[in-house]
Amino acid sequence: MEDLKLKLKEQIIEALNLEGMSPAEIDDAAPMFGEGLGLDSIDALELIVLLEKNYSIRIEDPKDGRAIFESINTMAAYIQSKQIA
Amino acid sequence: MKQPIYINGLGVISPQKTFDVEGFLTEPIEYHENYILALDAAYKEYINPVQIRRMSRILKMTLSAAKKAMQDAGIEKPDAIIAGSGYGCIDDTEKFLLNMLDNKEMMLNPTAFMQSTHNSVAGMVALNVKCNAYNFTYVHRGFSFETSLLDAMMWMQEGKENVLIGGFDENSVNHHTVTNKIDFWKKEKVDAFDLLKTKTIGSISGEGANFMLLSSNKNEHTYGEVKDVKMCYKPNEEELLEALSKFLKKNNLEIKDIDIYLTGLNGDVTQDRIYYRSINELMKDTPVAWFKHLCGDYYTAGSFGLWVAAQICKRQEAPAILMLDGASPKKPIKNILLYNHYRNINHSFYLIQS
Repeated sequence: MEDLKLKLKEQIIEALNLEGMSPAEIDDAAPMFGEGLGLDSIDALELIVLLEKNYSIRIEDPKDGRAIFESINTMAAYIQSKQIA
Repeated sequence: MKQPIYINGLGVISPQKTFDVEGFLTEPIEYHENYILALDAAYKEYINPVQIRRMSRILKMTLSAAKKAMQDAGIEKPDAIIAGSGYGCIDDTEKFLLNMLDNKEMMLNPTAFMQSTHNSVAGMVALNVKCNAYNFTYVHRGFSFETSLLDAMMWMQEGKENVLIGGFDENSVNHHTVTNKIDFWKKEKVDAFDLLKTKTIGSISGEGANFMLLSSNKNEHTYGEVKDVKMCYKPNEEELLEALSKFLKKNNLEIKDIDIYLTGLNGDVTQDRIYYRSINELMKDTPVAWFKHLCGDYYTAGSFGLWVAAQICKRQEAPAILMLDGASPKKPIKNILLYNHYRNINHSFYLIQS
C-alpha cells in the first residue's frame, strides 16, 4: 500500500505539474481539494484521466469522484479495491 | 482630425535579451541552428504561482510580456486587448492531437485542450487583469499581427485610449519537422548573423511574444508614433513599388525623408529577391537595417520589427548589429519605414515616427 501511495504521489506531481513539490510533502490524509493541495475542478478531470491511463480504472459516475479524490489515502484504497476485484 | 497613436509600453520575450533589461541589444546572441527559441524570463515575477503550473510555455511568455507592456506604460487595465498569431498555442495543439491518436480518442487531458486555441492568450491576459473590454485574436498567417495593429488603430480613431496589442508565435518540434520538409528552413547549419550571405533556400525558424501598449496620449513613456500600416498580399514588383509610393504619399513623405529602412529580410534567396531588385534600389541612399537574424522568421515577426523601430525612435540610436552595411543613420532619427514580408506572400509596410 505504501508503495502504491508513493507511486500515486509521483504520478500526481507529474500530471498536475506541481513544480517544486516532492512526494514527501504530500500528506496522505490531507484533503486534495480546497485546503491541503489546493486542487480545483480541472485537476479533478486530470485525476480521472490519470486513473484511466495508469490503472485502467474508469470512474463511470463523476459524483463518485468527490469521495475517491478526498485524499491520497482514499485514492490509493480505491485503486487497491479495484485491482483486487 | 486623425487621432495620433503612440507606443507607450513594450514587453518582448524573444531569442535575444529583450526582457527585463535596460540596454537595447547591447549583448546580441548569435545562433547557429535553423531552429531558435526565446529566452525564458522569470515568469514567477509576473504570474501567480497557483496559475503558472497549468500554463504552457507560450502562455507564460505572452502573459508576462503583456503585463510588462502595461507596466511599462503605467496602465493597469487597457480598453481593448488584440492579439495576432499564426500558429497559436501550437505546442498544446500538437500535444492534444497526439494524445487523441495515441489513446484512440479516449483519456484526453483537459488542460492541453483548453490551452490549444489561438485565443487562449488574449483571454488569459483579460482574465488576469480583469478586463471585460473588446478582446480579439487575429489568425491571418503572415498578416496576423498587422491586422491586430490595424484593428487597434481603427478602435483608437473611435475613441479607445489604451489598447494592448501583441504578436506571438512559438516554435514546436513537430511543426518544424513538417515545414522543414517543404523547404521553409535552411538545410545547412547557418550562423545567424551571416544569414544573408548564405544565398540558399529557407530561413531560420524563430519565435517570440511581442506586446505593446498603444495609447492616444503622448507622455514620458512614449517610444514613438505609429503613423500607418499597409498590407499587400502576394504583390508583384510593380504592385509593391506602387503600394510603397502611395503609402509614402498618403503620409506626406518622400523616400529622402526616411531615416532608416528596416527590412524583414529572412535570408531565403528565393524570397528576398523582391527586396533586392526593387525597393532596395529605390532606397539605395537610405541606411538599411534588418532584424530576422536576431529573432528568426515566423508569422508575427513583424511585431519584433516594430519593437526594434520603437526602441530606435526613443533612444535615437540603432545598434550596429541592426545595420546591414554598417552605415549609421543620421540624427535625429525621425521616420522609420519598416517593410516586412512573410515568405514573399504577406508584405507589409509600417511607418513609425519619433
